[in-house]
Amino acid sequence: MVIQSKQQANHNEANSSDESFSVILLRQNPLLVQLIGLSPLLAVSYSLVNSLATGLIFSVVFLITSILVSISRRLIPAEISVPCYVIITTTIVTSIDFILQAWRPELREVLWIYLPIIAANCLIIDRLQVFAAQNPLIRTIPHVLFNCLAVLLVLMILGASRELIGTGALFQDAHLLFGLDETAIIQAESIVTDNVTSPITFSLATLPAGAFIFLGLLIALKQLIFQPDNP
Amino acid sequence: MKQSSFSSALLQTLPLTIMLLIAVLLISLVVAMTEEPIKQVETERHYRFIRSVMPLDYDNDMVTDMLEINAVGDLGTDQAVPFYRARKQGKPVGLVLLPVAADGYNGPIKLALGIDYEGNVLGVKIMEHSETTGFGELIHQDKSNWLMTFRGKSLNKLPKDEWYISSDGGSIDGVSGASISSAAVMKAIANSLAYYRRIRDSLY
Repeated sequence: MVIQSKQQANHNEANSSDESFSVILLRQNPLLVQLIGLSPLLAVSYSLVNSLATGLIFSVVFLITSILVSISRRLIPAEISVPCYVIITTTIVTSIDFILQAWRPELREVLWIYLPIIAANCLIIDRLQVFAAQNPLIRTIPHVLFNCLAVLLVLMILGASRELIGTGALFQDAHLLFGLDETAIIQAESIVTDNVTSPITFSLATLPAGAFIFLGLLIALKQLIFQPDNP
Repeated sequence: MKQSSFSSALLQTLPLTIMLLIAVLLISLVVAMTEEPIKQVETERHYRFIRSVMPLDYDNDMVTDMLEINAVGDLGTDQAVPFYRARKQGKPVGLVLLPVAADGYNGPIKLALGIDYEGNVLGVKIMEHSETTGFGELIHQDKSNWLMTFRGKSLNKLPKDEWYISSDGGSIDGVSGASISSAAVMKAIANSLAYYRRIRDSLY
């Protein structure tokens, strides 16, 4: 009998074939179950807009990198695989960095160094090594998309709850992502801000410590709702 | 044996090198594409900074109504110093200039100084500096309110020989731990006010 740690079991399960979205979301969720690559994603998800932005950037990087690696998987010798992944990921992150500086400079400043850190994200490197490098494009794309969606969902739940409980209102920095000229967005923003408020504000929610506390609570909640029999 | 391991090592580095070349090409493309917008963002940020030390009401475009004056040392630098003039209905309201505090602890400190027509300080902010973290940098507007204490000061109310920190015989408080940096900024503001007083009539 092979005794595996829960972590190992989760990791192995994450490498097996064809999972549906619900399996990836609940049993192999990168942020709630695998607990990998947390730091950069949690650090800036103190508001809904930030979480949305980070999640989207992360997804773009992950998707493009995985596609490229999956396509060229037979051309890259195993010995230099990781440096190759790093080159690809870094190029994409740097490009996104420049694009943000040109068209959304305030958002770029808010993300600070956590945008470049996505280039070294363990989740991406792990998934590349273990899945994209060994699977054809047709299987890599859904796998990566489901993972990205799972990450985006968790980040948005975290971001929304942290912003709501931390500052009492939601969507307060919508202009970061959507630009100042979009009057429709500003109107939508005020509708949300005026009607979705929290009577209690607890500033710890927006600080990094709050990130981990909320993450833990979310993990517990997910276990409670979806896997009450799974310790 | 040695031959084959060398050639196999070379074979491994080939994909890596090709990848690096493609990466460099792609990034230079992106940089070229975004150079223009990024420059515009920088300029806009610069002008927003300058406008932030002119709180008075004005109706001209301050940044285009600009004069560059080479004060040859009076304003802390040998280069031309921009004077951004603010007017209301043609009448001068004040201006923002960018003097340099040449005697900073670690080098020159670039300032943005807003003064009204009479020569009262409206606001002063530090644009660039290289002062020591935790000490000299405490004079910066993000680290303390020290620069706000200059609001309303002028050479009329406080003669030039009082524009020093107390230990130098003046009557303005510096920031503790940043006496050299404070003194440099103080001196730059005083010099700018004196210079303004001298050439005011030719400025607008």
